[in-house]
Amino acid sequence: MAEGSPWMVAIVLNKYLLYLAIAAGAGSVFMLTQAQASLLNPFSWRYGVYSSVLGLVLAIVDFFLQVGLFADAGLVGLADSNYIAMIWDSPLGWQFVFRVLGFLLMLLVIGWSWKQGQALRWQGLLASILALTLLCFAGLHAGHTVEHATWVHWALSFHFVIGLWWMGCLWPLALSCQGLEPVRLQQLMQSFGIIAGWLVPILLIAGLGLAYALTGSWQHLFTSAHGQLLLAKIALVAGLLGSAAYHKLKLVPQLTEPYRAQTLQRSIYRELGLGLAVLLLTAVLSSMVGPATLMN
Amino acid sequence: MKLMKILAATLLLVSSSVFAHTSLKSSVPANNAMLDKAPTELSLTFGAKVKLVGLTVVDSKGAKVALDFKAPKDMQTSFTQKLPMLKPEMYTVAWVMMGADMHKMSGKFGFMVHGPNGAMPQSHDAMPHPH
Repeated sequence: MAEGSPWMVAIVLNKYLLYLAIAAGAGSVFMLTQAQASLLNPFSWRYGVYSSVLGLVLAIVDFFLQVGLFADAGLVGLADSNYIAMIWDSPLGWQFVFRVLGFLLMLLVIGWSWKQGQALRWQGLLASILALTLLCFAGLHAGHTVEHATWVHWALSFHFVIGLWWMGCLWPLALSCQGLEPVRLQQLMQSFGIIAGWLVPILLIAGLGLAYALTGSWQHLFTSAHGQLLLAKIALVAGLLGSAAYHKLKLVPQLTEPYRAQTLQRSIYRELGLGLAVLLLTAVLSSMVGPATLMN
Repeated sequence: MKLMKILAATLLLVSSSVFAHTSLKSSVPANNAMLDKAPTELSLTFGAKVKLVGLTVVDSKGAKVALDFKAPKDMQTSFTQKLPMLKPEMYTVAWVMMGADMHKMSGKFGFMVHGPNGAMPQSHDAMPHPH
């Protein structure tokens, strides 16, 4: 029987917020490594620190939501010691531990940078990459790819980190459109464009690999609920790519002209809206809708 | 607020309509089985390795059958549970499992134990349907 309970809805929404917290951490790290964006450092510190604290809270909430889901005894079930022990002993317990470690490390790195009043240096960048790796590793302990081959885990890891980094950069980049002078803004956008130019193809290849591994066949892509939601996600991602190309090829080269920054800002907010929809769809796909390859 | 309600309702709809993971493949007694003799054990076989985390048997009045069920630590495809002496009745078995992907699945099935000389329990139309 399907598990369509309010617990499941809460788990998916909590997962969505977890994605946003990780994205914000990654976006904060990007901004804090960009000298052109130093005027926005106060925002980037708050963005990274608050999202890491939120991530820690969400990791704890997720653990207890899983307890509540399995105990299925209302709010009383949240404190059921048998189910707490069961979840703790399962890979979900490890997922919780890796999430807490990842968010704590991210909090330490960005908090330290804030305390020092300095941008991130290479040590901070390495530590934040480690934090993202821990958060990524947490994601491998549960979900539809658990029993797949190692290459699928790698594909998921790259897809997860790059996608969240991209989405996490959008809000600070939109704010930069009104906080930075045009030349610095252009340099920042070009810097983002160069990194994205390397990472986005990896994101797409990894995403295609995952879709192939999970969906299994073209037929399932069109006939299964998982496949249809995946098609919806691909359509939204196509919109994201179109938006990114429009920025890179048209708006960013024109940034030194009057009012172009406002046009870019509006367009980035639209891209962010699409990105938020993609992440929500991803949270649903990875939690509620079983791919055809898992039906046995 | 309205948007959140719509979102929650949509997620509930999605979750109850398209969730599809590994499930119960077979059981002994089988679903809707009519038995001349009370079974002494219950066997469940799943399509893949799972962790069985909950198992209950209730009669047609909803009274729980006392089971000494302890959730096994390991993931397995087959589980066997000893049953106490069952009276002629209709019974519903409810199971809850955790899949390898850590997702929860649950289901129910039913069977009937005949009375002496094949007599039917009184409310035999209350047999549960499989899920």
